[in-house]
Amino acid sequence: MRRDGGETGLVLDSHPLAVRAALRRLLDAPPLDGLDEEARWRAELVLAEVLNNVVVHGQPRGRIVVRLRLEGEALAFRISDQGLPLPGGRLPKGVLQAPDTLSEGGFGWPLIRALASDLEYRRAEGVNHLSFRIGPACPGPEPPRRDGLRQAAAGKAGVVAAALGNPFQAP
Amino acid sequence: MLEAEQKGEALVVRVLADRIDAAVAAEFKERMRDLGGGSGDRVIVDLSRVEFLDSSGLGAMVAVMKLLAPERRLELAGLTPGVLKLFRLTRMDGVFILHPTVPTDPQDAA
Repeated sequence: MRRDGGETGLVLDSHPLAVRAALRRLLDAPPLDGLDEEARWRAELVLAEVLNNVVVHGQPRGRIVVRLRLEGEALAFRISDQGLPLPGGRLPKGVLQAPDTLSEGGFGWPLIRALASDLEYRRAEGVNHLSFRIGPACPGPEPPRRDGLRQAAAGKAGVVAAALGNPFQAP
Repeated sequence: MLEAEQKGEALVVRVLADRIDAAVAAEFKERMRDLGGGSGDRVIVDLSRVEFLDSSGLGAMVAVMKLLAPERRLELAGLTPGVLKLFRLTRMDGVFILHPTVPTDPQDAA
């Protein structure tokens, strides 16, 4: 791990155990070690989802680079890898499936979108660049989808927001 | 990774790992499948030692629920704060039966 002018950088192999080790190192060092438990949990979960997506779906040649810096009250992350591009060359919408469909997957992007803000993705010269912020407040969950139609679930999202004790906005 | 004990009609499975993430989700599912042959109709998974669970772990939990159904029900106990938040955010808290702790007498606590 490298610290340089307020930026922390970490390079990891494309493997779930390397992701786990990288999370531990990042969370135990500044600036993540100084955050409250809620923000640390959000940072850890979003990083786990993003990095495991890269490992499992991107299957990159070479290593994954994580950079982060504190910008005001928000943590700004930049992740780059030389794996496959995201499908369609853009960020997935990340809409949650209705819980009773008992889907075993599809949780990752809804979680990323609910907990991180300012998500940006670009592909340049064979490299994926993903950036996002973890701020004091987070965007909150999207309503779930059933058969391709969004339910009018603003009330339910409000319940989730209350459960999390966070200043979530209704979608 | 798992420690199982038959208590009356319930199989209580304690997860000994502190994380259920992409590195171990498949193994968790396999171990749970191996345990699936016990008697009784309830399976209670004690998650009180699990500090971190991600979408892979959640997916494994759904898979185990589907493996056990319809004969056996999957119940989860002792969710730590981050794990509980994940269940709430994905609204899977309405799909699983959640207990604050493992019921002391599982036979009475359905």
